[in-house]
Amino acid sequence: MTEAMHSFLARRQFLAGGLYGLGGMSLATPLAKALQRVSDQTPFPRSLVLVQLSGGNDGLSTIVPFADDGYAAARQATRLVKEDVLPLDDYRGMHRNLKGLHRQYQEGQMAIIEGVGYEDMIRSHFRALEVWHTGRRAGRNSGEGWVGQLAQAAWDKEDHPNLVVHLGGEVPYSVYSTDHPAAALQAPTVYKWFGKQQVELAYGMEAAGADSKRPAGPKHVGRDKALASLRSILNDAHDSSASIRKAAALYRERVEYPRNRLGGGLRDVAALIHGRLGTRVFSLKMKGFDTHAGQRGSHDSLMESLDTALSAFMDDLSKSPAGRDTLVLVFSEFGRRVEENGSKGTDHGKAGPMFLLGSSVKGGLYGKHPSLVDLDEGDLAATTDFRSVYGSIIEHWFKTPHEAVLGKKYSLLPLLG
Amino acid sequence: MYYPFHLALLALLVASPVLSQSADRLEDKGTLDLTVLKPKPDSSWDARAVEHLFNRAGFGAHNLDVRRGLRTGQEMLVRQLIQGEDDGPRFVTRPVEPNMELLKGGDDEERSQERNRLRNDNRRQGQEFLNWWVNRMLAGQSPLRERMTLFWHGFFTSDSTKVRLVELMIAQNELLREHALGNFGEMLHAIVRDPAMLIYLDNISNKKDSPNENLARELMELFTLGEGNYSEEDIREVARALTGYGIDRKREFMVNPRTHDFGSKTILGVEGRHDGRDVVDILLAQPACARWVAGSVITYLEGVEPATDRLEHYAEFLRTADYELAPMLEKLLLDPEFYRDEIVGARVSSPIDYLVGICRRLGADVRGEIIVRGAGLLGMSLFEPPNVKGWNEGPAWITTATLMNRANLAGVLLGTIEPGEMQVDPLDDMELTEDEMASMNGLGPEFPLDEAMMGGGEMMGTSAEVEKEKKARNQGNLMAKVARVIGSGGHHPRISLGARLFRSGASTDREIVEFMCSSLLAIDTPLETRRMLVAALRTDREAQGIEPGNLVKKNAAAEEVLRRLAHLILSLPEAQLG
Repeated sequence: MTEAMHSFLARRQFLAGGLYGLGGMSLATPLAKALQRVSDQTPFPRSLVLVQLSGGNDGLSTIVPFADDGYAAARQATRLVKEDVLPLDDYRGMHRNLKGLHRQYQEGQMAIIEGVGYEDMIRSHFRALEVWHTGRRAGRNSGEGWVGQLAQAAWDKEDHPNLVVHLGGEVPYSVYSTDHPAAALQAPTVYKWFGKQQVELAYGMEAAGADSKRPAGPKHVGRDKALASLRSILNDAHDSSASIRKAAALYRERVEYPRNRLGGGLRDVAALIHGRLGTRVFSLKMKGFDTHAGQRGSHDSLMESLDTALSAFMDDLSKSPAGRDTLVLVFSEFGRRVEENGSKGTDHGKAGPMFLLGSSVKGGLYGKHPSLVDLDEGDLAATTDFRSVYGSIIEHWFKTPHEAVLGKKYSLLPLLG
Repeated sequence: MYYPFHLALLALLVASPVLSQSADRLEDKGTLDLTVLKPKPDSSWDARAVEHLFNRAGFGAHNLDVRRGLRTGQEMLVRQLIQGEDDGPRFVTRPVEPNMELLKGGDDEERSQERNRLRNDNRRQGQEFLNWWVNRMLAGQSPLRERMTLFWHGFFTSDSTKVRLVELMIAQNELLREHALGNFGEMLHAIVRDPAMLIYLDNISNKKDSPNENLARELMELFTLGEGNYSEEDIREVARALTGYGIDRKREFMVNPRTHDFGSKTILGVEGRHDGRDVVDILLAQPACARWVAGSVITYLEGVEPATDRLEHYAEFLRTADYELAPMLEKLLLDPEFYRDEIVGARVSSPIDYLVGICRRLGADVRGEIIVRGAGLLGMSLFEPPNVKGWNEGPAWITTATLMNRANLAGVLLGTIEPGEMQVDPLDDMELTEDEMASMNGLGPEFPLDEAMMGGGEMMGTSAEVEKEKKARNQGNLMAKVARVIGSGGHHPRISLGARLFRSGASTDREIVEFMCSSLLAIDTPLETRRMLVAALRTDREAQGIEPGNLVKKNAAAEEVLRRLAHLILSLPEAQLG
C-alpha cells in the first residue's frame, strides 16, 4: 500500500468518525451551536448560482409589456392584461405569480436585464444552449463551458472537487471542464457508496500504466484516455461524498422551501454554502418551458414554482451573512415568438429577459425592452448581449478579467452595487 | 416485417467494395450457405474484437458467447446479428378504454375513480412493456435489433409523460423495432404519421390558420438534416405541409382536411402542394439527410464522430442503398476501423448497457423491472428521455453521483447490499414520512388523463413537465423506492461465483482476479488494476481466515469474499466502459 493511500485511509476514517459523531447528535446541543457560531464568523467565498429555464422561457409572459399595443395585438390566449401583472412601471409588470420576486425587486435586490440575446440568434434548443453554455457562437467546438473556463481563470489553484457543483440529473455543458469537472448530485442522502467493497483502494489511481513498469502501449490508447477521466471522477466522488452529505444533513433552513425540484435543489445549495465547501458556482435546471401548446396554464404554474423556490432561497440567505456573498443568475436559451401559434402556445423565438438576484445586486431595470413592432424575423430583437451580463459578474463579482473567460471584451453593466 | 436476408446479401454484392470482396470469397467456395463458413484466418479476430462487437452491437457478452463468437468467425457472427431471430412472445397491448359515461356523467367520486383506474392501467401497462423490452435485451436472440430500437428511441424520441397514452408509446416502440434494421425512409414516413410523435411534438394542434412549428423544426434539425441545412422559412413551410396531421377519436392517425393547408409551399427549393409524404421525400433526397443518419448511427455505435471522409463514404453508401440500414450496419460492423484502438473499450456505457451487461456477464436471472427502475435512477428512464434530442451518450453519463449509484445498484444485483441498507443513512435526517413518500414518489407516467385529450383534442401543453418537476423533488426517495422494488419482489441473485470459479480452474488469488475481470468487465483490465484487486482479495480472504486456494470451496464465507471482489470490480471506472 502506498503512503498516499495510507494517509487517505486515515483521513477517511477520521472523517467517518467525525460524521457519525455529529450525526448522532441533536442540533440543539451546545457543541453544534458552537460549531455554527464559529462557522458564522469566517467570511464566505463569493458564489454564483446559475438557474437555467430549459425549453425557452416566454419573456413576454414573464416581464409583461402590458401597455404596449404591439403586445396586445400579437397575443390573445397568452395575453396578460394590467390586472394580471405586478406593475414595475407604466409600461411593464411581472407575471402575477412572481410575487416573491416582485418583492425582491422592490427591495432593490433584483436586476432585470431586458432584451438579452446575441447577434443572429439560434432557435434550436440545443445549438442555442451551446452558445449560452460556452459564451461563444461556435458552441462546443470552441472548447470547454464558460464556467469551466472561469474556474480555470479564477480558481485554478483551488483544486478541490466541490469548486463547481451541479444539482440535478443531466449536467449542462456550461460546467464542462477537464481540469475542474463539476461534482453532480441529485440527493445528498444517497451521495455515497454503500457496501463493503473497499472502493477506497481504487482511490488515487491516476493514468493507466502510470505506476506500471510495462506501459500499456498503443493498443489501449482509447481505453486509457477514458479511464484517466473516470478515475479522476472516482477521486472526486471520494473527496466530496462525506463533505456534501454532512453539509446537507447538518443544515437547518430558516424558511420553508416549496416541494418542487428547483426548491429542493436550492435548499441543498443553501446547505452547501453554509457547509463551507468552498463552492464557487452552483448550477441548476428547471424544465418545462417549451410551451408550444396550451401555454397559459403551464406557464402560470412554472412561474409559481420558479418564484416560490427562488424567493425561499433569497429569504433563507437574507437571514445569513452568506447572503451578501451569493448571486443568483436566471437565464433561458431563448424567448418565444411574439405572435402566438394555433395551439394557444408560442414557438421558439429570440431575445428574452435575465434576472440577477442578491443583496449585493444593484436592483432595477437594465438593457432596453425590445420593440414589439420592429421585429427580427417575427421575434424580439436582442438589445443586450448576454455576455455583457456574464462579463459583469466575472469582472465585478469574481474579480477576473472577463475576456480571459469569454474570449473577447464586452461592454459591462453596473449590476453590482 | 423484418429485413429479408437475401436482399441484404444482394445489396452487399452490388454496393459495397469492402463486402463484395468477402462475397467473392463466398462465391469461390461455390456456395452461399453461410453455415459452412470457416473463421477468417485473420488474427485480428480475437476475444477482444468479439467482445467489442457484442458490447456495441448487442448488450455485452458472457465468456461463453465470446468463445462461441471466436469459433463462428466475424462475418458469420455479424450476419447472425443482423438477421437475428424473431424470438419470444410478442407484447399484447390492452387498450385502456375510458368509460366516457363515468367521466362525463358520473359524480365527482365516480369521475375520480375512473381517472385513477385509467392512470393505474396506463402505468401498469407501460411498466409491463418496458419489462418485456428489457427482457429482450437481457436474453433475446435479436440483440442488434434491440440495440438499434434503443438507438431509434433516443433518435425519434417521445416522452410518455407528455404523450400520456402509454399504448401509443408502445406502438411507437414496435414501429421502431420493426424498422430498426430496415429502411430509414419507410421509418421516417411512419414516424410522421405516428400518433405518439404527433402528440409529443404538438402536431395535433398544428392548424392551417396558425401553424405550430415544433414537429417541423425537429423533423429537420434532429431527424434528418441537422442544424444549418435548412432555413427558418423552410421550417414555416414544412409546418404548413404538416397542418392537420393528427389523431382521431380512436387514437389513430388521420389528416383533418379542414385544418390541413392545401396551398403551395416551397421547401428546400421544391415547390408544390406538399403534404407530409412530400416533405419526407424532399428531406430524404437531401445529401445532408444520409450524412445525418449515417453519422448518428456511427457515432452511437463507435462512441466518437467519424472523420469527414469516412462519413461521406458511409453517407454515399446509405444513399446508394436507398436508405436500407442493414447493409450499412453490416459494412460498419465488418469495417476494421470499427475495431480501431481509439474506440475499443473507450465508450462510457449507458445505464442500460451497464446494468444489462452485468446481468448478461454474470448469467444472472434478474427481473426486467429492476433494470428499468435502476436505469431510471442512473439518468435513463426509458419512455422518458430528457428532451427531444434524446440521451446525451458517452462521458456525460458519469458524474460523481452516478458513479456511486452505479456501484450501489451493482451491489444490490450481486446481493452484497441489502436493499433496505440504502434506505437508512446515518446522516439522513431528511427522510420523508411514509405518507409523504407515497404522495411524491412514483416512477413512470401517472398523470390524470385529460378528458379532452381522450377525445383527440388539444392537450395542456407541458403541464406534464410541471408534474414531472414535482415528483422528482427528491431523488433520495427514488433510490429508496428502487431498493424497495428490488426487495419486495424477492431479489435473491441465484449466482454462484464459487461454482463458476471451480469450473474455470482458477485457484490462486491472481488467477481468481484474472478470471473475474475477464468475466465481469467488457474491456481488457489494466495491469495496475489487476494488482490492486489481487491485494484487495488477499486482504479480505485473510481477514476471513481463508487459506490461499480455498476460495473455490463452495462455502458461504468464500462466496461472500468473491461477491465483494465482484462488487469492487463493478464499482471501478473500468466497469463503466464497453
